[in-house]
Amino acid sequence: MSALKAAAAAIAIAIACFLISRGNNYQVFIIVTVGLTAIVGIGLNVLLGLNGQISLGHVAFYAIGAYTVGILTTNYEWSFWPAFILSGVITGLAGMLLAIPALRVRGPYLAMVTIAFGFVVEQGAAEWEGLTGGWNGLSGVPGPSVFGTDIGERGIAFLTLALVVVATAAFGWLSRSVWGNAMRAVRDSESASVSIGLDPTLIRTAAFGISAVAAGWRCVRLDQQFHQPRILSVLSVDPVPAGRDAGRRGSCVGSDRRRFGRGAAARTARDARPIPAAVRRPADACRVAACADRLGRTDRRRPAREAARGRSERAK
Amino acid sequence: MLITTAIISGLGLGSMYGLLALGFHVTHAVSRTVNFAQGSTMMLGAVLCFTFWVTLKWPLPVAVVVALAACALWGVIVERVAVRPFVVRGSNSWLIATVALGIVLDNVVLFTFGKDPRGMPPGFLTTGAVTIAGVRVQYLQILIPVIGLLLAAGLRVLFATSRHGKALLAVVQNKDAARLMGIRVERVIEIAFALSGLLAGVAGILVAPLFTISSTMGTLFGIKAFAVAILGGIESASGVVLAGLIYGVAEALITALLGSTYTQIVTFALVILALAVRPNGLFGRAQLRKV
Repeated sequence: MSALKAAAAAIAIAIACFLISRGNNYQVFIIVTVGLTAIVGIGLNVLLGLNGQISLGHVAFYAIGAYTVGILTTNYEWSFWPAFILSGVITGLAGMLLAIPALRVRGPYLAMVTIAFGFVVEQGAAEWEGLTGGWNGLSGVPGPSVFGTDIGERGIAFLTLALVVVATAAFGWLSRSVWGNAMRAVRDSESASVSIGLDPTLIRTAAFGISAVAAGWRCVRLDQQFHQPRILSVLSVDPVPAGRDAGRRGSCVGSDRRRFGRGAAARTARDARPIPAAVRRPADACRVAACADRLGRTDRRRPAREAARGRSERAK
Repeated sequence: MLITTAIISGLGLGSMYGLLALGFHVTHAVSRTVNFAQGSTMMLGAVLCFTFWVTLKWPLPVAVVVALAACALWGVIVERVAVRPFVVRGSNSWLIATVALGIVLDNVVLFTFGKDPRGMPPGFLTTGAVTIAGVRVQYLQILIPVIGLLLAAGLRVLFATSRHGKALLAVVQNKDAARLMGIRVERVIEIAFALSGLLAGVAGILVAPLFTISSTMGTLFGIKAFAVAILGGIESASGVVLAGLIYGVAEALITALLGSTYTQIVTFALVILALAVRPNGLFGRAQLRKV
């Protein structure tokens, strides 16, 4: 990150801190809303920007996270923090679960699978009254507390700000990491990325999981208004689908849009660091090794040798 | 008895899903884009027909024709405002833009038409009925699938024989070659969107007597129609219509057997399952994208 960008980020954080501590309740409410939308947007950016996959059912992950926290804190009297951590795990798993059917489809077909997923979760939340409270939602969900005291709306605002900073930094790290390059490679050309030993299934599943966890983070603010199945209406004016296109795809803070075309695969391959074993498919790894071996040594001389063989065979 | 009723009403609704899904198919075929807010276009057809016929007391045929023309015009507006500006710059944001335009239309109707759902006045088609296999069936319930299937078949004939239809098929096959042959591709895409609006309008007017008319009547219908288009494999016209009938009947049977509570959960879960098993839709063909 350049010094200029770091300074801009520091100033933005300082302004947000000032507004949170000095602003009136409504301003704090708006800041929290902006922050939570940004977090979900960053999560969607992992999926759509880095990995090129549409999700129109992302609110479902928010719902799963929110209901996990709500149910654990009200019915089982957990405190907020362990519930929050567990909700991250559960939304991540739900994201990977959705990835199973979603991996097989592309474009509008994928859009439909995610819409259908959103519907199933919405209707499920509405009908499973024993667990979710049905259309009335859950009430009396306690907010996050520190040392026994409720941190209140301003505390939630600081927490949201911290989560935005963490999410932004994590996105920047992911985007520059081998995994980020691997995701771009799979987005731009699946077959080319398979040929250099990337496993698209694993990479897409990871993108779905990460993206779902970020959407689930939005559950830090739970109140009556946000805790009914209604909020999930897939095509309602929800900040989530709109947020998806607000930022440029694939970039987090509006930096350059990195599109390498097919080059992304090549770039990953050329990267000085080896492809981590986790991203690699064992069978393909062997194939890649074989390819590299041939490219490196024999192939350059092979046409000549084959031509020579052809000549000698014709001579016979 | 219960099942016969379910199948008859399912075929009716299913053919309307099919009409709306044909609208998705037509625009997707020529331009790889769709108006995601087809449900709003359908609602527009129903609301305009009601306004012209009941509120302004125009004769019914005039009201229907003017409402359908308005729907076709709305299709062209959607293409110009929410699709073309994004497609020419290589962006996929038309998807959200069409959804947004649909929401705008829904709310304009909410303000002008009002909040209260209204019903079409009863007429010959809804009061008259015949008895089939011991079940009383309204004339309209027979008319809906007949019109739906006739329109689908008519489109096929139109594409194969008329000049505009052939131009459309040419654009579907190869946009660049079509342009070189002097076909105005942009105009053809506009016609496709107009056609898609028209089909949505027909569906809206036909189902209006079965439901109530309100600004939100189209939202869920449009999403179901998109599910149908995807299930049918959006590339195939007959597949889309067939998928509509299957979806309609399946939905009606689930409602009849399990109760309306679980209809949406089960149908959408089935959609996910169907796409997991056949990623290109029930009747679509696999497409390989080469490096």
